[in-house]
Amino acid sequence: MSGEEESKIQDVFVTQLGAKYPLVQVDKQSIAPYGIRFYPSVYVIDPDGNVFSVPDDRMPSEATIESLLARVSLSPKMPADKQYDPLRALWKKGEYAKVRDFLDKSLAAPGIDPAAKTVYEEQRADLDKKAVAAEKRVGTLGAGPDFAGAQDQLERMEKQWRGMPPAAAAQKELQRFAADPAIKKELQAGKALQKVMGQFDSSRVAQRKKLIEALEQFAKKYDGTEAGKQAVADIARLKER
Amino acid sequence: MASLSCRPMVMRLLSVLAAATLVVTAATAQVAKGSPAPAIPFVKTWNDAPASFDEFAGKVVILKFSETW
Repeated sequence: MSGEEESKIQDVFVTQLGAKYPLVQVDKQSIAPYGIRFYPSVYVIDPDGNVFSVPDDRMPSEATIESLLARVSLSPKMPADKQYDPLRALWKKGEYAKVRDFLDKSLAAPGIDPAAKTVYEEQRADLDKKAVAAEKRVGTLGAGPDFAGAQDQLERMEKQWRGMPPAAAAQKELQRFAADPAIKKELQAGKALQKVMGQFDSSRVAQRKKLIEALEQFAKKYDGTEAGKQAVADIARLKER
Repeated sequence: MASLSCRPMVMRLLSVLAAATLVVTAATAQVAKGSPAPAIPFVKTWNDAPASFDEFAGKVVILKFSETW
């Protein structure tokens, strides 16, 4: 990499475009394993370090990204001491009612070490804060418009927060989804769109044409739905390539 | 994309810049979905980007590869 290139990145991306997100300069040989065919290319990596989506896919929806984020451990920072390993393990499992029970029991134990007490109190406050944020998130997901993505995430939240208020809120939203005919139609359309997208390899010209045809039919059938709008956007994107 | 960058700290939007002279062909084999993301050595970073690829462990990462002209 030349200094000239470094300067270009600084001038164009940082200064002119005002990029606020993390930027990294890399050597072209080092990215060969990604098999990049065009620029810009977007890959999404999941919390396990595996490739979740490649440029041939549709950019994952915000709800899908949220569902990936839900898999990220919410474990707050705590001392490295072994005595906190059981608590760390509970956070990692993402079963927050068990975290709450552990903390409450530990805090109620007679003669608790003052340092541990401080850690547990901080953890408990952090858990409460996360529960409030999760409940708020349930409301956002319930408002749509990506009900198919929201349903997946609400189901996951219901499991993670079982026995705590966010789970009850998620369950209530899922029941509402099941009872609302308009949302049911959106859910059906969302799943059908996922199926159509999965049937074709858009990196191949012939298949891309077939995908466009299938999406055009889909957009007609599901006109007026969010998935229908998404299909129209996908058609435009595929035609540009 | 900009809205996504406002998500919690666990997510990073990372733009990786490749060399201008890179020639890309349709025959390039793309990394398989579900396979471990190949680590990339960083030459230089801006905007609080991590010092190494390993620092993304456990996070959701959006890698956007762009090139300079």
